[in-house]
Amino acid sequence: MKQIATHPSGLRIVTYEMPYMNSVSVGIWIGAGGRYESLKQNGMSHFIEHLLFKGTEKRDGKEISQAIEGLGGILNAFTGEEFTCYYSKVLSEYFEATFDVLWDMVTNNYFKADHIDKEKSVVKEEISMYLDLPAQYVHDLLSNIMWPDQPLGRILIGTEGSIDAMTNDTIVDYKNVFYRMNNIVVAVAGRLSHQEIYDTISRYVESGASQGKIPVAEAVVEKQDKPVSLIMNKDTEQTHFALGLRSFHRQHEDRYILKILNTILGENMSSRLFQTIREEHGLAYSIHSSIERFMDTGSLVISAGVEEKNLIKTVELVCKELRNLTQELVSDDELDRARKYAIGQLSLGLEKTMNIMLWSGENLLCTNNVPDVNEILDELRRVNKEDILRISRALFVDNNLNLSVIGPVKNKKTVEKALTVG
Amino acid sequence: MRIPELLAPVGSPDKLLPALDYGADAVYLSSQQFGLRASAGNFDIDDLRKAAEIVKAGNKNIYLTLNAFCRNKSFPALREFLNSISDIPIDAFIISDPGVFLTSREVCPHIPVHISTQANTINMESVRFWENQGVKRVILARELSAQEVAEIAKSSSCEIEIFVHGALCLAYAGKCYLSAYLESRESNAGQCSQLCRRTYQLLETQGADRVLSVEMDDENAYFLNTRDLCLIEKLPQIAEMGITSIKIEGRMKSAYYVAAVTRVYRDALNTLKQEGIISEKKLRGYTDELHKVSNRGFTTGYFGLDIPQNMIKIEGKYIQQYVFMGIIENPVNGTFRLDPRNKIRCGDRIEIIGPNRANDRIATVTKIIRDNTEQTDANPNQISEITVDIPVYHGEIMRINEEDYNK
Repeated sequence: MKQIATHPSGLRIVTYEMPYMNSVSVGIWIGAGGRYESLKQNGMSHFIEHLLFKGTEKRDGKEISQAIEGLGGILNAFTGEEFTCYYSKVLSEYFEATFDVLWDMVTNNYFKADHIDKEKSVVKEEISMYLDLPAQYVHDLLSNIMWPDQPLGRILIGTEGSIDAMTNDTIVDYKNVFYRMNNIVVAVAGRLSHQEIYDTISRYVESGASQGKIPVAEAVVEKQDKPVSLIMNKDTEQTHFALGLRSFHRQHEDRYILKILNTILGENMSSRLFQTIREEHGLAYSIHSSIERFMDTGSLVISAGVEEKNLIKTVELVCKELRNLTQELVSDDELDRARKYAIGQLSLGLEKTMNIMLWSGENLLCTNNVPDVNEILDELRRVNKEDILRISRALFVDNNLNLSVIGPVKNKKTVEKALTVG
Repeated sequence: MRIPELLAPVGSPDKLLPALDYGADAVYLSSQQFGLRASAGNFDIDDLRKAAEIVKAGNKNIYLTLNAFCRNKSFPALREFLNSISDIPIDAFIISDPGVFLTSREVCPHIPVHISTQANTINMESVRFWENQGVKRVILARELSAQEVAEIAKSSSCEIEIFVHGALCLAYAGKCYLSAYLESRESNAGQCSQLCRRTYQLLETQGADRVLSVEMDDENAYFLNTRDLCLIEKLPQIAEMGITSIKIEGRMKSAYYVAAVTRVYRDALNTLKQEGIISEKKLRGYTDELHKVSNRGFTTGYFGLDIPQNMIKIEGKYIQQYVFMGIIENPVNGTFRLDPRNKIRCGDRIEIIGPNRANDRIATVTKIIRDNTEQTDANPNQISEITVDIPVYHGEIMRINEEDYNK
C-alpha cells in the first residue's frame, strides 16, 4: 500500500508496504540533475554523485561500500536530467543501517582536495569511455540537436573543461542549493510499514524546516522547422544512429498512448522496427525505440548500429515505418498485443521492490504526486487505434525529426535527404 | 467539409494575446463607441492600431464591431471615428444598423462589412438582400435551427457566420427592451443591464395579488436565466454546412475564459480537420473542459432544437469547477510575477494550462515573495513573485480546482 508523508523538515517520504517480501529498496532522490546546471556547472550533479562515494566525516569510501555490501545489499547511484538518486536494496532488518549510510552520504559536505582531484580523473576517463562507446554517445549527440544551446541538450557528464573548472567551493555551493530537505524525496518499498520507515528516518533527519527556494529547471525552447542531422565522422566498425523526436512530458494527457505507440514501433522483438530492420532486411543486430519524459517535454528515440553502406536504407525504412503509422490505423491484433505487453511489463516490473521504489521516487520528486497503478493500467487499456493514429500524425512530422550518427559516413547530403516522413 | 474560421471575442487589449495564442483564427473587438458593449474595457484608436498590427503580423483576421443602433445625433461622431480609423488594416466591420452600414460604405469603402447578429437575419431572402448591398458576410441570428442554417448556407453566395458558444439572450437577441424599460439602459446601445440574470418571484395578479412561492432548496429562482449556448458537439454538422466562421460570445469575459474556451474549439476543429470526425472520447474531453470554465449550464439552443425548459437554468447562475489564478509572465526557472486574480497560497496544487490542452499539468506553489519578504499567500491584486516546482512558460494560465481552493 502506498503512503506519502511530509516530514517537518520538508523532506517528502513515499512508502510501499509489501509484507510478503524480504527486501526493502530505498532511494534518496535529490532534485538535481543535468538540466538544472548552468553552462559553467555542466556535469556538476553527476560529479557530486561520484564524490559522495569517496567518504564522509564518519566513513571513508571503502567503509561506505563495505557497510552495505557487508550486509548482503547493493549500493549505487545514478544521475539524470531532473534528479540524482542514491539507492540500496537490502534485507529489511538492515534498513536502518542502510539508511544511516545513505543519509550520511547525501548530507556530507566534507570533500578532501585529493578526493576531488582523483574523481576528476575518474570522470574524465568516463567521458573518454563514452567517446569509445558510440552506441551510447550517439544519444548525447542527439540531445544536443533536439535541445540546442540549453541545459537539457548538454552532455550530462560534462566536458573536460567544465570538470577541470570545478573547485571545492563551486561544488559545495551547488550542493547547498540542491541538497536541501524540501528538494529531497525518500522512497522505500518492501517489507516494512510506513510507520516503521517514517520513525527510522525521523531519527536521522533534523526537524527544522528547510529554508530557501526549491530550484526549478529552465523551461525548454523548442524551435525546429526542418529535419536536423548531426554526423560525427569516426572510424568505427558499425555506424550508429539515433533518430529522435520530441514528444510528451511527464503529465501529458497522451503519454499512455505514446507508451503503446512505442511498443508497437520498437520496444520488443515483435515490434515493427525489429521485424522490418532485423528480421526482414537483416540490417542490424538490434533496433530499439524508447521514450523518455521530462517535466515539460519528452522524447521518442529510435537507435541502431548498421553497416555504413546500409545507413541510408535503414533510415529510409525507419522513416517509412513512421510514415505508415501516420497513414493507417494499426490492426486490432497488434493493438491488443501492445496493450497487453505494456500492461504486463508494468505489472511484472512492479513485483520488484526496486522498481516500485524507482517509479514512486521519481514521480514524487518530479510531479509531486504518485499515481495509482490501477489508474495507469486503466489508461493503457483505454488506448484505441484512433488515438495511435492521432498522436503519430502529431509527432511524426518533418520538423520533429532529429538524427545523430557516429561512423565512417561518406556522404552527409544523402543522409539528410533520407530523413523525411513526408 | 469546410473547417470554419474560429472567431474569438477580445473585450480589451489584455485579452488579445490570449485569444490569438490559444487558437483563434480571427478576433472581434469594439472601439469605445458604437460597439454594443459599453462596459467592456474596449479599445481606443491607438489600441486598435496596435491590435491590428499584432493580428495581421500573425496572418489572422480582425473585425471591429460597430453594431449599435444609432440615433441621428450619433452620426457626426461616427463619421469622424470612421475617418480616423480608415487607414488601420481592419478586415471587416460588424454592423447592424443600415444607417451605420451606409456611412461605413461612404467613409471606409475599402473595409468589408459583416452584418451583425443584432440585425436578426433569419432567412435566405434577408441574406440575399444583404448580398445585394455588397456585404461580405452575414452573421445569422441565434434563433435558427440547424436545418434553417444549412438551407441558408447552401443558398447564399456570401459568407455565413454563426455563434457556437456563450451567453444566449432571453429575448430575440437584440430585441429586448427590459433593460431600457426598467432601468433606462438601452440594450441596443450596448448598455444591457442583464436583468434576465437576476432572481425573481412569481406574482399572480389576476384575482388576488399574491406571491407564488417556488421551492428551490434555499436557492432563489432565476426564471429568465438562459443557459449558455454550446455547439461543440455540432461542429461536424457545421463543417458539412460550409459555414465560414464560428463565433465565441463574450467580450465581457475574462482573458482566462476566452483562452480556455478558444483552445477547446481550436482542438476540436483541428481534430475534425485531421481525423474527419470527433470521437466520443474526445468530445467528452472537450465538454468536461468547457464545464471547468464559468458557465450557466449548456444548451444546444435553437440550433439543436433543445426544448425550452432546457434552455433556462432556473436554479442559479454560474457554475465553475476551477478558479482562475492569473497569467504567467516572463518566467525564469519556475519563478514569475503574478497579478493574482484570486487568493493563492504556498503549497497550492495548481493546474497550468496552455494553448494545447493535452499539455496541461499540475504544479505546486513553493514560494511567494512580496515586498522582498516571503509570504504564505497572496490576495487578489497583491502582485507577487511566485515560484512553482516545474518549468512554466510565458502566457500560460494558472487555475485551481474549486474544491482545493476552498480547503
